[in-house]
Amino acid sequence: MRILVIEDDQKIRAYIEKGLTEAGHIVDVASDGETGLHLAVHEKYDVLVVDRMLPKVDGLFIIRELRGTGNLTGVLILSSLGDVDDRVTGLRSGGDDYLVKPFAFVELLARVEALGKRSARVQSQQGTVLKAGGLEMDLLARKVHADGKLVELQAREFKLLEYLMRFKGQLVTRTMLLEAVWDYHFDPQTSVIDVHISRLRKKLGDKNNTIIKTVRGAGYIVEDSF
Amino acid sequence: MAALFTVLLGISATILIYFLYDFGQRDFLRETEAAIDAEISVLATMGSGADQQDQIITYLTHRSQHDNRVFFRLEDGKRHFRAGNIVVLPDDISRLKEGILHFTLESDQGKRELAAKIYTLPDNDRVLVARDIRDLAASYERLKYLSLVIMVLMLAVVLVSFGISFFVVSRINRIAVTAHDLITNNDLSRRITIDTQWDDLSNLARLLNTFLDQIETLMISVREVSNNIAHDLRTPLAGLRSEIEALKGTRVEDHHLDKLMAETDQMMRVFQSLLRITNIEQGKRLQAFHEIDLSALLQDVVELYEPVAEEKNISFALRLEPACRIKGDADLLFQLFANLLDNAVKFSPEASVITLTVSARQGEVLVKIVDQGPGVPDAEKDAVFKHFYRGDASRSSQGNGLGLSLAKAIVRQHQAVMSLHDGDPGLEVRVVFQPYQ
Repeated sequence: MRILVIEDDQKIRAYIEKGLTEAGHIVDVASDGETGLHLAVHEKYDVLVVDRMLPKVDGLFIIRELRGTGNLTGVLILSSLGDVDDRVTGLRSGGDDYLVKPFAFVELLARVEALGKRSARVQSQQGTVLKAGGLEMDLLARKVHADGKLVELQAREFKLLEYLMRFKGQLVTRTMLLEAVWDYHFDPQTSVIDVHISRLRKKLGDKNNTIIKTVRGAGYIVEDSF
Repeated sequence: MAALFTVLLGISATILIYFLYDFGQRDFLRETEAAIDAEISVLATMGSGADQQDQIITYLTHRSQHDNRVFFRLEDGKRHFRAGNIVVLPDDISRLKEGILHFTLESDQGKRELAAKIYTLPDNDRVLVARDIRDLAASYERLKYLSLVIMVLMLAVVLVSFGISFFVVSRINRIAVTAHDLITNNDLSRRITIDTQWDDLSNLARLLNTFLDQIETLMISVREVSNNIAHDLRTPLAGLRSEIEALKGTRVEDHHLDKLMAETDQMMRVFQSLLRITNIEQGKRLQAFHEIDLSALLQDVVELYEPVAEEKNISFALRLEPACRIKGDADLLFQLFANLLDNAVKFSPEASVITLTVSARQGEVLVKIVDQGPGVPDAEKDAVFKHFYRGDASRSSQGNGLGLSLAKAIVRQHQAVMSLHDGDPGLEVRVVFQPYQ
């Protein structure tokens, strides 16, 4: 993916650039809002990582500006404010996702890749059936088959699996799951999500964690084929 | 300052009194002088020579007969009496003002007090024109008396104001001295001494003392928190260090790194929680509050924790009244009840029941979470809300000691009240909200 990182903090910028490049992405960087906006308008990117507070041109202004010209590139906002208010205003001005500093790099990477996939999906509409290995999910009929066998899932479990399948082959962090599936932004303190996942695994007959894999210290991944 | 103020006030009082006195005297004489001048001007119009003499005498006699307030004395160049009703000049002649004389005269109507002017005729004869000033003198006396009263009052004002300013300034100085001490010695336990109760400055001092109390409490809690942070992070940091040290010289595998990263993540989470508590306590999110159905929200929280509870064979008993609406922030409230439920599940014994109640009653919405765990002893009921506090029962379990601090911050932000009670057995947590209006 081509990713543009607009961040004024030299250390964080280098950290993100290095990590994303190692993950196999092409990364452009800008250290202030003006250069960032210029690049974002004139070049084509799959994902933008934009810091909220930027010299010259504010991060939210860049996003509004882009959305105003019909640019729908996925935008991940970085913020050190960490307040829900800011989160709400950030998302309202057109950001797709919001990450609070300090963050673990896996969290950023997972979100950036999810955003890249999402914007790719906008172009080629996904069908109503999700497939991964022997797992088949019919979103309209709300039915799940594992190796041809029907699996009964509760509404929340269905949403959980749906989210994992949508981003199959990609790391999904616990926070991403909390936000997407439970629709609340909060810090679960203990490993509630893990318990939900293990319950889901049990229902899917996933004995050795082969369908939903755990990535230590990061989150979960549903591989395309297993 | 006090002295300067008093001196200034004293000077202005003196000037005022002088003006009053001087002005009164002048004004009071002016009328008399004008009347005397009028008589003189009539005399001046009379011609000269022997004819004039008679004319003046006739006039004088006529005037003194008709007006008993006017007195005359016509004398020749050698100061001998020629005509008029002042035959003998009294001895007590004094000068009242430039050109005006003052004396008393014994007459058939008793003692008269007179003011007089002398007019010299062309033939060197002189006419003394006098006017009774007894009435005027009386009012002049009155004026003098009033001025005296004013003077005394002014003096009193000066003294009182000196007292007040001395009092005020000494108190302000005392506050300043205390503040100065406080800053230079960095000693927040000092307070302004208050010896009276009734004045505004003592009120102010009391207020400042309350301020200082609050600042001191805050400082103490900050110190406590930073001590706790230091303590809470030192242990994992030391662990991290020794683990890194142990890896020295060996082949580093991914799972080693994973473990180290997980440990750093845990530390980062502690910081993040602290930051969140601070953010919430600063309370800049009130504007994001909107109508929230507590029952629905609690249902979501319960749904999230059900699998966790199931692992310990704990079941939830829900008594959720529908449509218990409050004004709040959904994310924060979710966090609040997630923390409370997390605690309840953590401390509940196997195969027990956690009861959740939401009810609306007389202008408040009550949420009750009752578990069957060990409960919290009375002595610890306040302490559990402190940052990093961990009761005996929780020492061995996972967590960072910030869950209830965060809960408390959220509760305060929602202007709700949270209290701990003894369940039967276990702990009963009550949160009382204002209903949505």
